[in-house]
Amino acid sequence: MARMPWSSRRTEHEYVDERLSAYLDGELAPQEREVVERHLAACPDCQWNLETLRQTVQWTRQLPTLPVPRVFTIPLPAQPQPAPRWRWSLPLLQGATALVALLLVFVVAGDLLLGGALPLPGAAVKEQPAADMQPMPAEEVALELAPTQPLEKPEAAEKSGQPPAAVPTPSVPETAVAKRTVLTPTAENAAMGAVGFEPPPEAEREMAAEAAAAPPPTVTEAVATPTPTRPTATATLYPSPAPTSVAFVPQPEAPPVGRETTEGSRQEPLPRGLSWIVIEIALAVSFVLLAGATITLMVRRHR
Amino acid sequence: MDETALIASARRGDARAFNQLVLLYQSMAYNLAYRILTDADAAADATQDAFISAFKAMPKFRGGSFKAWILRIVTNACYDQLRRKQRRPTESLDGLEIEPDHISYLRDPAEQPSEYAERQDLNRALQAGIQTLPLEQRTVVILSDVQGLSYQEIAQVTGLSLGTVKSRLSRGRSKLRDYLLQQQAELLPARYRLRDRRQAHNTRPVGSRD
Repeated sequence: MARMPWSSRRTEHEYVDERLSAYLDGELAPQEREVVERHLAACPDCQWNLETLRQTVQWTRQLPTLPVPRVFTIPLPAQPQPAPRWRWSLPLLQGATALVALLLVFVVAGDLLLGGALPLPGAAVKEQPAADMQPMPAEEVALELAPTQPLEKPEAAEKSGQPPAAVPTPSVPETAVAKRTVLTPTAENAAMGAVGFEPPPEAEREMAAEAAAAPPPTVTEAVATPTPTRPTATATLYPSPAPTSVAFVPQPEAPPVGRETTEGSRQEPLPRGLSWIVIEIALAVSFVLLAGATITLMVRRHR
Repeated sequence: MDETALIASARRGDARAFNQLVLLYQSMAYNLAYRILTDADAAADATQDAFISAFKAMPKFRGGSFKAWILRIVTNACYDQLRRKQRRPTESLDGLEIEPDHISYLRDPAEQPSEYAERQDLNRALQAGIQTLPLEQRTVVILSDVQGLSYQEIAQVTGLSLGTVKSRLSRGRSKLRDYLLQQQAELLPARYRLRDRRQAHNTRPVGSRD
């Protein structure tokens, strides 16, 4: 016989009392059931306990199943599943909105930072040379002439009066070209050609005209007319490089090329700032529309 | 569609499939709610709340006893109802609600009308007694003796250990028995009276006709 799990008869009552309910349901372990049954055989109180419990449970089990007062199905529109057609277009909209927002930010930032210097796509390339050249010629020629002798000034003035013959080239290459004037005119021209230009007939005519109109030849004046018609002047003027001539020499180089390009491509474009504003407005409007659509979709989805 | 397929569809958000499950389980759910709350309207509210919660929670159902899962949600909905009622003391918590007489449930065809009436008395007394039980004992007694769940299933629904289920059931049943003993002299016909304790040593069986 196993050792009793209690110390006195009173505790045995409690032990059995606690287990009658489980005993009714057949939920006792074999050892426990043995103890309970043995006790029951000798204890009327516990028998009564068991009996009344059993009856109560039986009556409770016979309580009727009540019919449902109504149907408890959930309303269909309440289903959380979103309509499938929105499932894919939302990420697309979000991406488009973000892209347009980024573009807008970049365009506006670029416009603000670079001021009016921002070139427009297409027309900008052709406009630039003319734009760059226009403010330059008079200034640059004046600057170039500054260190030279006063007699050069009227010549400089004459030269600045010329058609937009910008002198964008820096002084270094000019000096180099001027040195080349020491050579024979043909060589000089060839040198100039090597630099990348051929003095067009018009430039030569101008140069010749100027030379003719020039006051008594000075060192600089002679240098100012490095045409094939005055080879001697060129030779004597070797030691004194004149900024004017230097300035003049490269004139045929850049302006004709640039001028032709500029004149050939001169259009009637919108003012630079206005085109950008149009782009910015278009981007802003697109952004507002896309953002509105995205937010509407997201709100509908989470409803 | 069998229940497994319905559950799978409902988990994917198919409300129509879920409503098929509602039709299968609503009687059990409502009866549990009614027995816990004793009030038919509160029981209906709790049942509806439970099914709405259950649909939203369907993705979290990972298999196992769907019945236990649903009953757990119903039990919680009932507890919520009780908490709400406690905040409104004007509503009676202990009012004995008489089961509507028009309830047509299957009864023993051999049962006489007088017997039917007596049984109604018994049922009312039982429900009143259940209502006096502390909530934790009440739930376990109802799940076991009204709903017919096993100890294991009760443990699943309540989240309690087997040992706790056994002890709460034992105490709940004893209390219910004591209530009947207390009230039966006034409430119950002789046929439905428990043998008095003072007659413990009397060998006459309980409930027999004199």
